[in-house]
Amino acid sequence: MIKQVLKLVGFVFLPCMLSGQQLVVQIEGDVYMNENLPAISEAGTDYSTALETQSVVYVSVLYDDQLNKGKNPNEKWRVFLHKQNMEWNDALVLETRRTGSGSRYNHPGNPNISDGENFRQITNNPAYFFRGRGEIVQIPLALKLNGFSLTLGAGDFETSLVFTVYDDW
Amino acid sequence: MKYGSWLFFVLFPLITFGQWETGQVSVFFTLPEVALVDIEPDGDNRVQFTVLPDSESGNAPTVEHSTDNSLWLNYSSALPATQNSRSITAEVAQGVVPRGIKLFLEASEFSGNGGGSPGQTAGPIELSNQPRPVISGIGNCYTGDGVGSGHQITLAIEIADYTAIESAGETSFVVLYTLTDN
Repeated sequence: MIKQVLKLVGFVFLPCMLSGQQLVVQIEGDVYMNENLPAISEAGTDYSTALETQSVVYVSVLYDDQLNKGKNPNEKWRVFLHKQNMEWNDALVLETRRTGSGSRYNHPGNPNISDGENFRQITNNPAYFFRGRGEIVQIPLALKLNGFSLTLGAGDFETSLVFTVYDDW
Repeated sequence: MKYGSWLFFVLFPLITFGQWETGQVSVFFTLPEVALVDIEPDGDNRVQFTVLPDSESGNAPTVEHSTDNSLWLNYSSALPATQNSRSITAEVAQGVVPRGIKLFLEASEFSGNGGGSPGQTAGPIELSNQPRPVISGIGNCYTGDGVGSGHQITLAIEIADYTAIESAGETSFVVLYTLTDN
């Protein structure tokens, strides 16, 4: 009888204990890459340089409730990144890197965050970007765009960057 | 059932620890329309032809250096998706060609280090004060910049009507090239 009660308690409470250990990733800022697009002033020439934007996207990794934050304030996590194209051209190469560490949320200490400091291409398949522990907010990212040319013609391009945070166990 | 229960206790934490959550941000990028054309070499790109009387009475006047191919046409073009191509037209825009003289222009096929879909030559045309296509079928492209890139221009004059030739002194006129939407 005691065994059965324990089993029942386990079935009921274990999901409650564990299912709340979810992290959320929040993103700020839409990105308009055109701000630094150089004008072509000489006939016969093409665009010559890549476009780079500094710290235009900010990523925050937070707990979804305070109960879990109290239980495990330094939970490890990893962020993966991929893109979903709305209107895009395969010649356009989008890269990103982490330009800072962000800050601990309501905490004076330094954020524990690693990797992602060099430019890497964003593809349509999720790829590991950076990792950290606990709640970190306002992690700044820079974006770089290569491969644009007059040969693509005139037009609007749009892609969506998808950040996925995983519990890192 | 007994082992199934314990298996559940073992696997459930593994399942729940691998949880994930996503966030998204949109990236926008616009390439504008571009339509640029120029003649190389930059600066002084004058071409001079001279019609001289023959030294022997009764002979026809002669044209000194009747052709010139020192000029090159460069262009950059980016079209919206709704537009197929562009053309380059040429016309005499300032001044007039002296009476009795015909001026012809021909663009070579594209050569150089450009990219994309450059246009094709329309062959030799006679220049007048009405724009005529010199190059057609220009898509999204760039020809490269400078002499040796794009389309080499050959200008030629001929005396078409000896009865109309008259001493006109020095006459100058401007050939205008326009990159135009089709």
